Amino acid sequence: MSDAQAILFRKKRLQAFRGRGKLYSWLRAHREKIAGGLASGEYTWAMLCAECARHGVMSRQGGPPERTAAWKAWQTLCRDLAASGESPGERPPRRVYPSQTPKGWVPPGIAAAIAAGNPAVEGVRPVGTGAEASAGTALVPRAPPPPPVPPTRAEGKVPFSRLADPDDPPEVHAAYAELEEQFDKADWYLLAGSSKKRR
Amino acid sequence: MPDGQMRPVDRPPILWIALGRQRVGKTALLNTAVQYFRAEGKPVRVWNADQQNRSHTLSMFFPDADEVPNGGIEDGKAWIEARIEELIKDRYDAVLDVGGGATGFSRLVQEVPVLEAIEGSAVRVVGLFCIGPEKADLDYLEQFAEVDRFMPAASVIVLNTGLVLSGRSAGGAFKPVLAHPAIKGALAHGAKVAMMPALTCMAQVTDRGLTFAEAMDGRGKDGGEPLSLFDRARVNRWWTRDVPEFFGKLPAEWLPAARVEAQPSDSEAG
Repeated sequence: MSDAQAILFRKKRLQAFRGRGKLYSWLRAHREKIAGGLASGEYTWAMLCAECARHGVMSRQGGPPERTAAWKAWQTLCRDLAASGESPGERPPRRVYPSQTPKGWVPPGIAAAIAAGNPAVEGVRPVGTGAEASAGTALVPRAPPPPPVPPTRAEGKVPFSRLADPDDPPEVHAAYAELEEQFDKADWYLLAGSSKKRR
Repeated sequence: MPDGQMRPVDRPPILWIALGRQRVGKTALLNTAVQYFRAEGKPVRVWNADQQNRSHTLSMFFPDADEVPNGGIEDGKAWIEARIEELIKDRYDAVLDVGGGATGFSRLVQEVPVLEAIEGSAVRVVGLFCIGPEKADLDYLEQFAEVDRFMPAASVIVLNTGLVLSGRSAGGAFKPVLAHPAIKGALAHGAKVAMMPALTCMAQVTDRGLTFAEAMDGRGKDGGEPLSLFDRARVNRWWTRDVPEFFGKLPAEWLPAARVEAQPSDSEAG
């Protein structure tokens, strides 16, 4: 048995990447094993090329890929992964879909935020109460917070007019606020019979 | 003494000057103002320096109006100078209709610091900048505020809703104009902004040469037709409600004061 037959990767469906070849896709699909084997010296490029050919990924000439070509493709893969903050030896954690979320699962950081009393997680509290409290969390319908109270206008303060810009001086706001009332009256007269229109 | 009314001896004479381009309602405003003040017992002299118009001038409505003689801009300028000197000397309230376009008044303003000269003689000048909903209506305000420096401390920007096209809201029509920095700058320097109420049948009144009181009462002039029933109702509401509201929003010290009859002194009475 030659070295090339010493490793057996399970066949995987290859994902195509734009501007990249099949060899690149194969290396990417098996990157954790390849990275580990290369780092430990267990795999050689010749072995990898032979395994690649066993999976049906051939060179243009119909034979196993060249070692140089495989090495170059590996370098490209390493650069691509580095650009997205990944490394060949590590696979990003699998997505956990809501249907597969285990009971009591706590999003990272939320439990700490609850414990710290962070107002950002207001409405989220551990499941159960008192002795039944678990480490998990749940969105528990609480009494909704009171509606925000509009800022009360202090006595003697200059009114705000939407006809003026927010950064206009108070004299302009005061004058325009008074005008708005007059406009409303005038519109009732000028547009008699029509509904009041927003400006 | 009612609030806001000072004895003429205690207060400076008022000179109302209506400014603005042509067809923005300067004469209509002053016509309304003079009728209103006189109806309130406030004597106001009328100066008609509008050399462009011959019909619908203040002279048509007020036979006692002083009218600029026919002539060029220089004649108009000299006439205005003479009137102002007379006002400073004799201390009375007056309104001045300078007309639109290039006028004797605009020439005078370009030549000399008129405002300082008049106000330095203890006369309160009230500038009424009449504008409609077009941005070009602000040219006068910009010109006088920034170039010619004729911006009295007592200035009113009068938004003439009579110029708003039928079917438009006043607020929507004037919104672009109100966003203009010329108006905001004037307001920041103490000017007031006021909305001149619209009278849709204004032309019917002025074409007949009627005063608003006559129009409201259904009177004709020189055998002419009185206003229709509904136009009389329109004038009635405008004259008795909208116009007093308009003038009521202006500072009292910017308005002419009522004549004070000579009262016998204590020694004479006693």
